[in-house]
Amino acid sequence: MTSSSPAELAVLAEGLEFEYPAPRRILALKGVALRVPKGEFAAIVGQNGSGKTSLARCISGYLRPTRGTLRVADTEVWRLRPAQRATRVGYVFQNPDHQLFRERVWDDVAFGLQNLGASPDQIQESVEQVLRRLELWDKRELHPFQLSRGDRQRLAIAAIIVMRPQILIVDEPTTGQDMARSREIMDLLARLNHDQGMTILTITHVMELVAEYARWVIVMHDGRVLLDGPPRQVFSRVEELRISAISPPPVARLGLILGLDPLPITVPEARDAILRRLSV
Amino acid sequence: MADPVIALDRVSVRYATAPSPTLRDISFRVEPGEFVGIVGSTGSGKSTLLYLLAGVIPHYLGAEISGDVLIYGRRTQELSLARISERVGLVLQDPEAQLFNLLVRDELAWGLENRGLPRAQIASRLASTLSFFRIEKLQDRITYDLSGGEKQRVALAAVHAIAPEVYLFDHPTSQLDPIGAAEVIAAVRRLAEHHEHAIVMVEDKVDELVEHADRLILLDGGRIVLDAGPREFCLRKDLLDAAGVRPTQMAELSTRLIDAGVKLAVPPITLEEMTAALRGLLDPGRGETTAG
Repeated sequence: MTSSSPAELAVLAEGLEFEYPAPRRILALKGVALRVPKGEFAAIVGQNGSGKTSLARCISGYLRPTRGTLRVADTEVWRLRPAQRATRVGYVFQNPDHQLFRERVWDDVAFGLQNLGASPDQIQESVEQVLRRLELWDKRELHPFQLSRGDRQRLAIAAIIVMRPQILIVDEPTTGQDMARSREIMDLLARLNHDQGMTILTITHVMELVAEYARWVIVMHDGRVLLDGPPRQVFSRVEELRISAISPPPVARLGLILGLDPLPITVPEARDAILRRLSV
Repeated sequence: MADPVIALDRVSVRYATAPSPTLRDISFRVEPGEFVGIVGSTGSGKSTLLYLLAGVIPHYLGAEISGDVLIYGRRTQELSLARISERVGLVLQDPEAQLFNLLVRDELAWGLENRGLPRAQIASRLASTLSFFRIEKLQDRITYDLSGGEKQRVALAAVHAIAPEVYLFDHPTSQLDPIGAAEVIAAVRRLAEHHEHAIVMVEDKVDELVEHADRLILLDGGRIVLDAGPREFCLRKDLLDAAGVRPTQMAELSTRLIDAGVKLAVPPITLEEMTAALRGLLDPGRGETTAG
């Protein structure tokens, strides 16, 4: 990780601080150091109030850092105009209803491209492509509020990725979704990551999904990055996880208790590790 | 014998605008002191079931009901929503839909003032609710300034302050981190330990329900397809798969180990059970203490 040169990094933060302005004056980020290479699929985890969302919003350019360094896709992203920012980094809100506001599914997806000044032909082509890809094409004439919650979540993602950001930030994509829908969204993010090389940063509390999908885990605690690394490595760091009140997936906890090595983090891995131990 | 807290007998519900019923032929009872979890994928009818138990259907949301919905032996259709809400507290999934006072303390006192409780009683009820949910520090905060997790705790506490006998929860921990969710569900469990109380909770976190609920009900396409204790519930992989619901990771692991020929007399469904069972197999000297 540390060997990556700045040009290969999606996110580079050093001593990053962010303080919410008066009257709140809460120091939400207290010196974040972080390097996320381009093309990574990373999960930001931590308790409520640990600074996850503040960090994600700084990376999105929506919040301006109070002190320190932050480069996103090799620029100081908060200095950019929204239209310039949108092709570098996109932010999908936790609640899609905070983001959707047009009266037709098609219009919600076209809106960003219109703002970027794309030609009508380009808009037509890109919107169709994204709507088909996210299985919303048949619903393009509906009002967003006629869609199910799962469809609205996909629409919120469609409205952002149509602008082809290099980095996609998705805040709590699984809140209010059942497990099957949560997996659908994570599968979609995995495809965007794999097929288009889009860097994914997702905030989530669901460690089972982190174990299955993320290649890099960033553990936030008290406004700082307490620990980061591949999921298997992070889930074996008992002491840091205790401090940050992160509970690894149950199969990883089982692996730690039984001393299974390498540490299983998914159910099939746990089964295989136990069968190996039993047959010895 | 005392009436069950909740009794549904072959109840179906169809919204006026819907082509087909949202709930079909639902029958179950909840006894005093019971904690019942409701699980199912999106669109399975979970929220409709809670609204039905709260009297929101038919008193606020119009729908055609067939069959009887009894709360403490009384048909909800014949009671006013105000009478039902004296005994039944509903905590909504979206706390923002529930909170409307400026200060947290006012939000908690509001329901009590509304019922004309004396000041001293309001103050003591407020203090006990704040400590029960560990939110003493939030009492002078502005409700719309709270984080999602804090709002969710305050919404729970506001319902608790009114001291209903039946608590209905719609995804009460959706905004909480895992530690917060575990704390809240454990606090809810303590509510059910007062035997006059009963709890019905719609929740996707099967791991938490398995630790605390007495029974779990699986809804699929508006029907109850499974109503069982946690272990039996978790091991019905066929029904869970069909309904798009995952059991606990340990129950999944049990099923896979048993399929691979591992002898587990009582299939473990929690981490504690699995640890004990596997220690017995991996280190047979300690096996006697681990049999389920």
